[in-house]
Amino acid sequence: MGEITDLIDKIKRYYGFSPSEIRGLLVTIFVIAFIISFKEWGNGDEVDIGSGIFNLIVAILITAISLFIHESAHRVSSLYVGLRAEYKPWTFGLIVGLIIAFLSNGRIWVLLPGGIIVHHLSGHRIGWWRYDIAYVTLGMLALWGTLATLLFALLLKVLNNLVSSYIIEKALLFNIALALYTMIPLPPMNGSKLFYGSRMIYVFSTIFIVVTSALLIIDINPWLSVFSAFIVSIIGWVLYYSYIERNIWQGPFGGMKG
Amino acid sequence: MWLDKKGNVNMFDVWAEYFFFVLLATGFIVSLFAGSAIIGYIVIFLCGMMAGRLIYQRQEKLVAPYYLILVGFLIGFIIGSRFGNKSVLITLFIAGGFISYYIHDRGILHDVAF
Repeated sequence: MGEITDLIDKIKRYYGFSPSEIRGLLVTIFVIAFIISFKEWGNGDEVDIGSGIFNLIVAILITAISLFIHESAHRVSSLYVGLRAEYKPWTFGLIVGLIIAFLSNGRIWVLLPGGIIVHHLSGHRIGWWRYDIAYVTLGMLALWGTLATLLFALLLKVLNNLVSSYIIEKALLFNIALALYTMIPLPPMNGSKLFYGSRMIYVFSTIFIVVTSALLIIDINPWLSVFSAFIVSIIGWVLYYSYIERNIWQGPFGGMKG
Repeated sequence: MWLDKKGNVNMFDVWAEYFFFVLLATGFIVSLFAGSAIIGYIVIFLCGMMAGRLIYQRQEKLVAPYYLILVGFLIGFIIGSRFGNKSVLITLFIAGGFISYYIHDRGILHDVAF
């Protein structure tokens, strides 16, 4: 109970977004919304400004809610372990996404929003092992964002089964794409932090996210998707360890000590 | 001096020239996908913005090789562009670069080297 009270207090004190973070989030939301609504500005060569703006607003809403959930997961999980996550947009990734959207006429979504940097809350970190920020801790915090996005996609799938809607379908597709893109091991995406933190967890979670995403797109029971993905992930994890990791792991200090 | 004792090209010494040709080919391929002049103009402007960001990050460091690489990309893009005016493409690339450099320099857009 004490931990919950402590977390609530930390959320009250440190959850707020800084002005530079809000600016970064706004730029990211607008660019990504533009990318995902690119092909919805009319039929064929005809441009329909009215429906285009409507679709852009819908896309902005979807992106804003999804990124809010993604970043909140980073933030709350970081605060729980005495750290504070800060969102930083990745200009290069956003521009690449825009270029690909223009070249593919909006058919290909490249969603590379940005990543987190983590601040050490000295007083709140006391009692945690290790006191400093470890690679694996950073990786796990990054993973929480992607898992929250996947969980949101799962809820959207359940909701879509109850009340079928174009907007829910689009939000579902966007969250699946976001979860997959954030697991790319390319700095500053979440995947890169987890990859350098722990390859074993990276492989397990990536397989889980890829398989869950694939099964969520196919029209089967969402909970069955998660269960199947979990089983496949365990198999993939064991195979990865047996055939790759076991041969390349050089000990806790990379073979440089002892 | 670009060759080692065995007469092979040392890639670490000629990386700028190497990436000049890689980016030239990349620019050529990217421009082929541009279906109209407007798309080509927007894409080259965005590429200019990326170039501006790159130059901003490399300021006071090793800049000359990056100019060479960027010129390679621009040449490749112009060779491959089927639509649009070449002068406009060059102007937009430079304008994109200047705008991006200005935005980064004024701190309007922060970017962290993760």
